[in-house]
Amino acid sequence: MVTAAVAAGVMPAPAAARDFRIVDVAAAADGAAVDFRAVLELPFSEEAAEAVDKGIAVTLGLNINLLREREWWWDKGLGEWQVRAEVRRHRPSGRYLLRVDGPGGGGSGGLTSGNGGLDSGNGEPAGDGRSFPSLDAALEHLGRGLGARLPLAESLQLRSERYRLKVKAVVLFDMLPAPLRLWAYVAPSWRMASRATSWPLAP
Amino acid sequence: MTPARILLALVPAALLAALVMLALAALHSPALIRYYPVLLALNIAGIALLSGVMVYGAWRLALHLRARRPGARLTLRMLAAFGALALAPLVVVYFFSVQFVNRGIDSWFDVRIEEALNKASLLRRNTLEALRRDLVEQAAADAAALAQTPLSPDAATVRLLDDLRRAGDYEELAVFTPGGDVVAASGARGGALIPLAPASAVLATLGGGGRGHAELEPGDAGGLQWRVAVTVNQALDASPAAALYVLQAVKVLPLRYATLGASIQTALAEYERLVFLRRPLKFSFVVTLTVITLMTVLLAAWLALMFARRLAAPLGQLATGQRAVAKGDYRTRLTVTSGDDLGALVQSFNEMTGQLRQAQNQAEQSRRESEMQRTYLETVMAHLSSAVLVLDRDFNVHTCNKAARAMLPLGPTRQGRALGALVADEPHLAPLAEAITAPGRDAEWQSEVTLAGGGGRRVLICRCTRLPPESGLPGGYVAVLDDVTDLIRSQRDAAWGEVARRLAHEIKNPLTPIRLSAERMRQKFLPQLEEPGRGAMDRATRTIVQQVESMKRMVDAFSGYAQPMRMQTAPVDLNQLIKDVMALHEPPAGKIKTALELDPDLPRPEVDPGRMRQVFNNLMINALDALGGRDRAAVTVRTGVVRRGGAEYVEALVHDNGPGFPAEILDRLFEPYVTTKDKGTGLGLAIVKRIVEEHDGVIAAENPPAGGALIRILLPLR
Repeated sequence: MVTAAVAAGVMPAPAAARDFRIVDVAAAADGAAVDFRAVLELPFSEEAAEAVDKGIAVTLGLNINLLREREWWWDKGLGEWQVRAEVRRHRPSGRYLLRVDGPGGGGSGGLTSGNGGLDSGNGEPAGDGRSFPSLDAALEHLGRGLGARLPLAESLQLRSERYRLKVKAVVLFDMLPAPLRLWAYVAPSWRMASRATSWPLAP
Repeated sequence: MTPARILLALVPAALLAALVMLALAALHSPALIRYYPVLLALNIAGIALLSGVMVYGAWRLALHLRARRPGARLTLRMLAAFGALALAPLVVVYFFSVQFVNRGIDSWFDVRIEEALNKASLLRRNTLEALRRDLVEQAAADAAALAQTPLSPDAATVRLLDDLRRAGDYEELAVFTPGGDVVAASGARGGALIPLAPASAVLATLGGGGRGHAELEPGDAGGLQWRVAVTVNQALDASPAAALYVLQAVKVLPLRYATLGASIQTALAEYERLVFLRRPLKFSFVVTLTVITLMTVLLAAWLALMFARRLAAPLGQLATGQRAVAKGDYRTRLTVTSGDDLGALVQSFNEMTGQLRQAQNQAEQSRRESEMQRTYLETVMAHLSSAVLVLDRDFNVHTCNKAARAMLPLGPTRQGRALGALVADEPHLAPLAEAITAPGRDAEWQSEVTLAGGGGRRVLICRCTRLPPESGLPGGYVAVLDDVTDLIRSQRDAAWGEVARRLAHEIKNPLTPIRLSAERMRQKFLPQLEEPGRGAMDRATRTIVQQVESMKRMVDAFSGYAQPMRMQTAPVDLNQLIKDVMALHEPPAGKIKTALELDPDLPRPEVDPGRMRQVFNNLMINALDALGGRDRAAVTVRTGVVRRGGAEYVEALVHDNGPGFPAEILDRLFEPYVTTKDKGTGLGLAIVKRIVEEHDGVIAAENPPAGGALIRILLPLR
């Protein structure tokens, strides 16, 4: 009874989760890597947006699996990558900052919208291209095109085999502050993720 | 240690370890925080496991309670006691811990601190707003200065911008077209970098008539800088429509403002961050605390259940063992499962049952031996011809054997009764009681007792012995009675036989010379004598001869009585034999009435007809002699078949209605020279008895209640 009373005061209230969506994926392979670019819809729940407003950095992860299709057996995994994008608010300026890390050169190492190993923009910067006046603007900018160059351990036989990329966007709870992790695991408002979608890999 | 016990020890240890790690992770241990969800899941799995174990344990306990299994109620009690002891403090601690966590976290957020931070933030915003206005005004003034000069991407414009930049202490000053293209720029760090154009929204605002736009943005090295954009209107009327260029100035916020503002913002941000994390933090702590409490409760309950089971198991065993012992089963051996006090108790129980079993075996052995002894004694005593009476110190009959019951006689109900009470019921036993209870006796004494009961006169030798104290009947007596009636009678018969032989030898031999001498005297001297001497001689010699002859007959009779009889037996019609004898003794008509009541189906006994005729002849003579001169005298002879002691006898009764036998000679009636007749030899009935006994028969004399005398003869049928 005590537990129930206490839990009632601290348990997360039910809230509608908002799902991410992978709108489009463009991927092209050459001998050494796969050039990958995804268009995403990244709607944040009110609580997640409030967390960012309150200065908590939220890291999104784009999990990418490269699979070789097989007819009579499960598809074979050839590689896994994760592209991370951290969004946080710069309190002194009141602006929202994006930081993208991932494979293919180790990321920009800072706030970026440039076209190094990672690309969080499509050449049309929101705001000044490094910071954004609102969270929506930052997420919209991130969703317009999150790209990476994924290095390959072996060359692909694109002419004889069929490959596909399995992509899923999630919030990385492990990157949240410790007190928030357990809450994020159980609170419906933090269940923000896309479905795993598959996209063919073009030569 | 068995694998089950190792597992039993490892499971709580693993659960405790998971519990400790979860607690450390909840305290944000750097090494464990990343495994917090895993640890939480592990602990929840542990709770589920322990819950399952407890439910299973409770179910088993309920089954044992329903089956009234020994130790189940004790297990329940101990479990309840242990559970209450562990649960109550845990609930209290849990409740206060939760309150403490909630209040503690809430106490971090002081209203005054929040208000101070908000006011500081407001002050900062106001200051920045003033700075922003000044900066916009300054940039507008610079734009006005630029408006006086034609702007183009040439050196003159750049120099002008350089001058304005230095004058305004700008970091960067640049002119853009309304579309965002750079016209000219001046930077404090040279012109290597292309200045960033104002955001399209800013350009649109300015194009819509706005005078200027300024916003703070993160600068290099973590500082802040203003980015200001104003229109450069080169038209004379200064109408917004004539605006052709946009002047963008970047000015670094002075370090003191930046540092101060950053501090305020950092503090405020951290405060807001904590405010946001308050609820998740509480949740995290409460969940951790709840999991830890539940795990602890279940662990404690599980351990209490195991402990209660272990504690109650020997007691349950003891209860089972005691039930078995109560039912007399001393073979129960309990397993000693521990070396503690309970183990010692179980060991003691085993030793006790062992000793009980040994004692039971010994008792059983003793009982068997006692039973054998008793059976042996009973058998011996039952087959003893001597009567044995065992009496306690108060002369109550404790035991008597079969011979005693037949001899005295005593029925089964006589046992346990006082000897005095027996005498009251059976007065003829008074001499015996007197012989046994006579005072002043030693440890052993002996006396001859004569009892005159319904069975006739009996002479008993009574040997009494006082029982020793260790006999089981201390102070009691055992009396052994031997019926010597027949022995005495036999001895008497033998004595009379001896007398008869001696008479035959000592008296009969002189009789012949006496008679011959008397006859010679008669022949020789009678013719020579004159009267009256002749008459006297004649009478004297005749008397001598007659008396000698009489004495000779008497001696012959004695000899016949003493010498062994030679029997020539054959099946004899006893009825016919009796009729023949009765015909010889037919009395004068009307004097004595004789009657025969003979069984027509009487079997023929194996007897010597001459001897048997002598028996009935003597009996008839005696009867007729006894009835002489009596009115309505009658003699009745009856025959029939009777069963005695499992054998058949031919019974013959000779009954007269005379005066009966004198009581003083009744028990000696068949002894020689016992007679009531003046002229009798006293050998008639003695010979009769001898003949009957030579036929293995029995003869008895009695005075029936109806009167008269009765002789009963039993002859066995072979």
